[in-house]
Amino acid sequence: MEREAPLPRIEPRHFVAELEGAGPVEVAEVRLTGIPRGAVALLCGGDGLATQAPEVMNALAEHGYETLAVDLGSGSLARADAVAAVRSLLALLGERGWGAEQVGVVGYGAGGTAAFAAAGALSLGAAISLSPRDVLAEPVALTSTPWLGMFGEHDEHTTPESVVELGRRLADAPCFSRVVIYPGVGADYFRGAADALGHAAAFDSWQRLVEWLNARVSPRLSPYAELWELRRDPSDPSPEGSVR
Amino acid sequence: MTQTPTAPTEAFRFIDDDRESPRFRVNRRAMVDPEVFDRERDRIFGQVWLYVGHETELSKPHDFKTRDVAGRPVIFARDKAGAIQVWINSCPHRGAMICREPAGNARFMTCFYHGWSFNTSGKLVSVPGDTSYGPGFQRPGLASPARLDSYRGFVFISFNPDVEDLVDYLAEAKEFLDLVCDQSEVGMQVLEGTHEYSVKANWKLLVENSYDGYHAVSTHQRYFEMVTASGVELDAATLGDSIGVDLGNGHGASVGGPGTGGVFGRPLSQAGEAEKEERFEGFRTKYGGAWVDRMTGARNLVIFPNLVVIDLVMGVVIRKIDPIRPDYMEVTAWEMVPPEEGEELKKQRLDNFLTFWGPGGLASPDDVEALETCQRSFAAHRELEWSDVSRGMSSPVALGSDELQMRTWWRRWDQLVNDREHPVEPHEPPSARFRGERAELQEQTTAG
Ligand code: FES
Ligand SMILES: [Fe+2]
Repeated sequence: MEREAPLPRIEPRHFVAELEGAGPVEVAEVRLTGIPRGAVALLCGGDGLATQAPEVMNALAEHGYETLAVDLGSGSLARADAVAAVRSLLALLGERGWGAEQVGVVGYGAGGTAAFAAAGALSLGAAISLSPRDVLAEPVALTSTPWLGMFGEHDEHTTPESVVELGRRLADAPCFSRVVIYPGVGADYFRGAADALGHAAAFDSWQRLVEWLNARVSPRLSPYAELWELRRDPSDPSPEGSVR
Repeated sequence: MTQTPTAPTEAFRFIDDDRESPRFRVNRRAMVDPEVFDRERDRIFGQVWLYVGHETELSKPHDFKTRDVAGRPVIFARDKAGAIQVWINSCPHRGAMICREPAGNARFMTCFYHGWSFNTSGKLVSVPGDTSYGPGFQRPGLASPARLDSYRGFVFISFNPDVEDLVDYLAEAKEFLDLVCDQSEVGMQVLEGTHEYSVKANWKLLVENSYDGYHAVSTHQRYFEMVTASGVELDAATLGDSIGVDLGNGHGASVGGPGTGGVFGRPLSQAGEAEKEERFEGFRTKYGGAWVDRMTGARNLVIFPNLVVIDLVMGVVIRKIDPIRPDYMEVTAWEMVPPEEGEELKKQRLDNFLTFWGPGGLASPDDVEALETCQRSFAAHRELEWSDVSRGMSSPVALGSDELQMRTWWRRWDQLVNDREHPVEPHEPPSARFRGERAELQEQTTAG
């Protein structure tokens, strides 16, 4: 997320919203004009809303993503409640016209755990977890949301062995997923560091995050694209492919 | 230097199929002439079914691979609903390749030139700044080849909308794919880890080589020495127990008798042998002994024009041969396995894939060397015009080390490229051991 020349910075708007499972929560929002590429629900893990979220939200805005960011605490929320909270965020994004397939959920730390749970429970465009915790605690069935999990080798909550085991368990899931372990770094690798491994981990994880969203979050149809949808002959044969 | 002017290809006789002598010869100009190459592109690769890949290479929705088929770049993908799709890898905007990675998983593929974005069903989903196109703009989706079909997981396309149905096209070669695919209860699976290499020779030379039983002992002496050194006793009688067959439509195979499938590998432990034995016993109750006897034999199959499936039972190789220029081809090879097999058997397969078939293995480099020297010598095709492919023509039953399977291929080639018809070469039917049928049909749920 390091930049050469400063771009105009967007100050997120803050408000309080009632999220199911989490109660009244402070939400930060970045709205974009025109036809944004997509929307992201950003789940911070413990006090990140003030410090880290504005930076990430601005970086996502550069790639065309609107964001709603919340702090779901550092891990006290039960998974079901975390999923309910994400569902409430989706409803808020829905008011801006975003469908679930047009939303990516990105979570850091305990927020990453929530993003992982949401990936298992909801049909989203994409989900990404950076240093999620307790990934083997409950089985997560990835049925329709592609999930990317990124970990530091020296994460005190998650050993590389458990990440490998997680990858094995997810391999047979119907939906695509990927786990990545960054060598020589801790759970906060995404903040970047001056040393080579720390810098590489921050750079690479951001790159993967953006590519994961771009390859999966459904673009919003432009007004002209909607017209085209209406005009298109429904009998127009879109190829059926070969059935398995 | 003066050269005799070359006769136009239409009038030229490339195949000398003399049933009297008998003698079968191929004119070497077929391997060097750019005009022949162009005619092959149109009249073979533009007309028939061509192998793209195997369904198991795409395990999840939105998985994709990019590869070339008949010189056209394609995207081989599984769409959201799980169906296999093949797209021409070119942006309908102004042509850039939509997908520049060899493989991946993506719901949307975005052209990096101007940013048009397509889903895995080929639909154009977003155009940056589309207001400049006006409201009436016809949004083009991705183009696809005229036909797409699969047989037991083997996916083929054709650029010819009027091509016959795939099952008819495959003719008797179908049965040989069955013999391979029946070796797994859950469906044979292509492994990740592809071999890609190139050969400075005409592509047809590798087709011939792929089911040439005649060359094995001489060209691959080094490999056989390695196998012998590892403790396997090679029995010359086993190596000779084989037939060559014409499977229709230019397809053919060299086929080993029952039990020949194991002779090319390093020895297994007792436990490994027992597992293998048990697996085949299971198949016996399912398909009957006669079919399983056939399954245990080696087979080198060529599906016209450029798909090779070599099944040595302990190792199955799928090979796709791509003509690039008259004197240059690219080769892609995959290993296919029954995923339910234990570690040792899996290891033996991989060992075979690497040490025999690998581009740095103990066998393929020898084949490549042989073919490249052929090609270099074809510079003298005017002085020495003909290659001889007559072996076994006068035998009642052609052996695997004969050249019937190649003649079969060349006759089909001559028919398509040069409009010349050749009658089928008469032979007696092979003995019953090579003709056993599958006793009961497998339930289609495990097809693939
Ligand atoms: S060529 Fe693909 S968007 Fe222009
Ligand atoms: Fe060979």
